[in-house]
Amino acid sequence: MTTAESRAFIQRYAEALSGKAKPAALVNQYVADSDEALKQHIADGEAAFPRYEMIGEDLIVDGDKVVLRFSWRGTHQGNFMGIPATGRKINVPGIIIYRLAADENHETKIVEHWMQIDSMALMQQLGVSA
Amino acid sequence: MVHRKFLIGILFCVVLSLVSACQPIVAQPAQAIATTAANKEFVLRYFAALNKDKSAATVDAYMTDEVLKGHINFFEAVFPGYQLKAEEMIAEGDQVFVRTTFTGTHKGNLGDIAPTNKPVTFSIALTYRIENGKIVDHWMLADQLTMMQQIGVIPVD
Repeated sequence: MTTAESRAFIQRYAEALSGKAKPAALVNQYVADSDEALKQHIADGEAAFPRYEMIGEDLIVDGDKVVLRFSWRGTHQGNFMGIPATGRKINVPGIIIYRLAADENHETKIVEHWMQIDSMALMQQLGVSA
Repeated sequence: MVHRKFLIGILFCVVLSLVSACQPIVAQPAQAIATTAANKEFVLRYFAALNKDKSAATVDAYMTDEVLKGHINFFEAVFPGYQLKAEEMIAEGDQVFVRTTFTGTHKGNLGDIAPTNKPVTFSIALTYRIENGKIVDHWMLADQLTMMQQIGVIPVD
């Protein structure tokens, strides 16, 4: 996986998902079965914040690893971590490391990820008192 | 014989000049690798140095980023002698991302929260921009929620 291939993949992935509906069939084109946690995470996010956006702020690419710094934006329209829909808009900074690999069909997929979001900001924006 | 050596000489010069013309294209990836490797080594040296002491003299040796100096002084007051460990580094150009583990003990006032003496271990996502051997800019996102839960300020649900 070259740096250029990784960069191109992440840009296609962000374009395909950000601000759009994220059905499992679409997500499966980009995320391998080995990262079931990411698939679940996207599904949970989509249910709570339909068509949420991931606005890329900065991208660092190093071979098969990518670090994407982003702003997560959406409207709280579904239950999220036990919090019923509030209708509030969120704009939360976050960062994700993706590890990419080619699957058996030589297609690039996300095989592993690590994520940090500003959960304090998220709680404040959803109106949850600390 | 003389003609043959002359022709070989000319051929050698032509090949050499072609190789030299290619040099910049071949050298770029190697230079990029050298820079990112050097930056990763810098981060390890920097963490090791500050884990020993966070005096102004030590901090100044590694950065010109005044905001970062402020963060370091703040965390040091709340968690004196805190330690940073680089778990993973991803580097490109003049930037290094470091997935970092912060360990410390709550011995100083955190806002209006009096010292609890509780140990904390949490992740910090850090990106440094390194120029001329010093950190000139940074971006940071700490897992404050986990930190607050470990201090006991926020309940774990």
